[in-house]
Order: sequence, then C-alpha cells, then structure tokens
Amino acid sequence: MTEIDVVVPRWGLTMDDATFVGWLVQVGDTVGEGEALAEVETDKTTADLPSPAAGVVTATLVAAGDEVVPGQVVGRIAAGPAAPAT
Amino acid sequence: MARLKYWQAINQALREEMARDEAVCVLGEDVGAPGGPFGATKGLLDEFGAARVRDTPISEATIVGAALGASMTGLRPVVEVMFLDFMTVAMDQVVNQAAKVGYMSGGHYRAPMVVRTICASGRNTGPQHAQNLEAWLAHVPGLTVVWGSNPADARGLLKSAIRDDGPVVVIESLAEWSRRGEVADDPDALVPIGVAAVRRPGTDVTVVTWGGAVHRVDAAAAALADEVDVEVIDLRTISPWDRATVLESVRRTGRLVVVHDAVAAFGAGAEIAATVAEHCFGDLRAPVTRVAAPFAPSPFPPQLEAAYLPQPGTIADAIRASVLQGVR
Repeated sequence: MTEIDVVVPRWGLTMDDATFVGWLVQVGDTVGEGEALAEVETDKTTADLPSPAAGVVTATLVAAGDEVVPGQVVGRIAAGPAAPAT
Repeated sequence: MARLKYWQAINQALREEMARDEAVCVLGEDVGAPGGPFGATKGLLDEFGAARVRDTPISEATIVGAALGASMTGLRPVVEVMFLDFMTVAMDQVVNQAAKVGYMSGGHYRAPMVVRTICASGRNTGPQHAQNLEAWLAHVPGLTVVWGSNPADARGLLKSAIRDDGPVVVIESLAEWSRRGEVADDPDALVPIGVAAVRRPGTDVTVVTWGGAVHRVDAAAAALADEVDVEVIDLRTISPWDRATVLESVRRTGRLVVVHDAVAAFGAGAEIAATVAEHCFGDLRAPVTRVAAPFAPSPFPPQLEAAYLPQPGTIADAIRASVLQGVR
C-alpha cells in the first residue's frame, strides 16, 4: 500500500502562508479522491483541502489554528480503493 | 500598535480614509465582491456599499480617466491598477491629463486622485508583470510617486496620498505582500510625502534605496556590520524625492551607493547620482555607484529572476568597493 502525502497547495500568487482551520476527517477514516479532508484559510478565502487519492487517512500532522505554508505535508493517506458507500 | 501584513495595512488605510471622508471611493478590476485581486480591498464593498466601491471593466485607461473626472468634480477616488506594468495602458490619462489639469486650468481644477498600482517584481510573474517602472512616472511634472517598503509606510503613504490635492501614484510591492510589521492604531498617523526614512544610521557610506530592494539592502548592511558602518535611506517618495536627507547624509559619509530593482539606464538612481554630483562634489570621496537590474526584461524562472534582482551579496560587494576605493 502506498502512502501519499497531503500537501498544502499554493492557491494564488500571494499565498505565502495560511491558517489550518481544522480536519474534516480523522485517522482511520476511508476517503475518496478529491474528498474534502480539511479546511484551510488563506488571506483571501477559506477552502477545502482535497484528498490526493482514495484510501485511508493514516496521519494528521497539524492541528486547528496552526499556521501552514504551501508545500507543507499536513497528513498522509494510505492509497487504496475506497470502501463502497453503504 | 497592531502587527499587520503589508496588504492588511493597505486595506486598513483604505477603510479608515473611507470612514473619515465620504468623498473617498474605490474603483478597479475585481475590487468589489472579490476584495481585489490580492485582497487589498477586502470587505470594503460590504462596509461602504456599491456606490463607493466599484468593479470596472478591464480597461485601465477608462478606469483612470473615470477617476480623474470624478476627482475634478469633488470626489477623492482611489483606483487600483492591478500591475505597475499596466500603467502603460493608462499613460494618456495619467501623464497627459491628470498631471496637467491643475496647471492648464490655472488651478481652477484639482485632481485629488490616487492610483494604487502593484509591482510584482520578485514574485516570478514574468517580464510583463515584474517591471519597476517608477522612473516613467517620476519623470512627469505634476505627478507624485510614492512607494512604501513595509506595512507602516504603505499605510501611511497611502493615507497621505488620499488626502493630497493632486494626483498621486502609490506603488505597492507584491513581494512584500505578506510581510508583517508594526502599524499605528491612530487613523491620523500619516507618513508625509517627500520625506525619506533613515532605516539604519551610519558613518562610512550612504545607501539610498526604495521599494522591494530595501530589505535586501538591509540584509547587506547587517552582514557588513562588523566592517562597514552603512547608512541606509529608504526614499519612500520617488517624486518629489527627499534631496535634503540624501545630500546631508552624503556630505557626512562622502560615499553613495544607489540600489534599485529597476534597470540603471535613465532610472531614478541616475537622477540621484547626478544631483549628488552637482551638490556634493567637494564632499565625495569615491565615485557614486548604482546597483540595479541588468538592462534586460525581467526573466520568468525564479532562479533567473533572483539573479536579475540585486541580492544582498552583490549589494554588499558594491558597498565594500565604495569604501575601499577613493580618498580615505
């Protein structure tokens, strides 16, 4: 199983830092590719951090209120097929 | 004192001036609901309404021309021109109209307007978004040109510009956009137009700089602290520039290095060098030198843009060379 980093993207030219608003998932949750994992607030807006892959959340490395920067790894996903919706 | 980011200080200045004087209005591309392309007008539409915060089409000449007409008839408009490079599109309105109206009407009309425009040099935005064109504007009688290098100056200069009765171009540095700094709480704390700031007093050599280059000059001066006592002057107003502060400093140190991110040819540094040569000839102990970008368009790749702009190492070399050569 491949572990994939969840990375803070650079959403705009002036995004030098952002506030990590909070996780929408927790370790052990199964998520789909593109599913919102967390909320991040930049100077301009608050946006969802999408999951880079389908799989299981294996690590959440920052907490609500932390300052984060583009490129920072904030979590990890063990990539694999998402469990079918029940 | 609050610790604000550069863009937040600009936003605060706009909010305070709009609250103080209902003649102050804002117009530009995406300045309304989106809060500006880079956030400088965030929240103003909700607070002051659509009559005073207006989104415009993508037409810099029209935006600036509309602001000029509004300023001549009683308003104090603040226009945002998204990039300094795009001032070239509005040059007829800025140079031929706004700068002239007071002179040509014998003072019957005034143009108390502000054009805020953003220099994205250092943000890897390519040759059409990264030019330092301050000399183009400073060359025109009738225009005031200011450029704050930090949150407090960006705020204080913008407020002075809004209260000024003539056209003022306020240049802002996108490279400094998220830099934080102490900003006064007093809404009437202004930074006067035409007054430079001595950021670092020194006795061996005067370095005059402004805009995005200021922080790289600071770094060079700090790195040289054990060997050279550098006086760093942030010009803050490009036109009319603070000749008194610069000439007094050069008379004391006998040496001048001008550092700017614009190309050297026909630039503001040349004007300063010539003025110092005219007025401080007997005091100079070394040739006046300039550290500037090479005479080429600003490159897009980050590594090349970093090499293009004067960096602390190059600046320190020029300062050291000035001190080592000439009369001791």
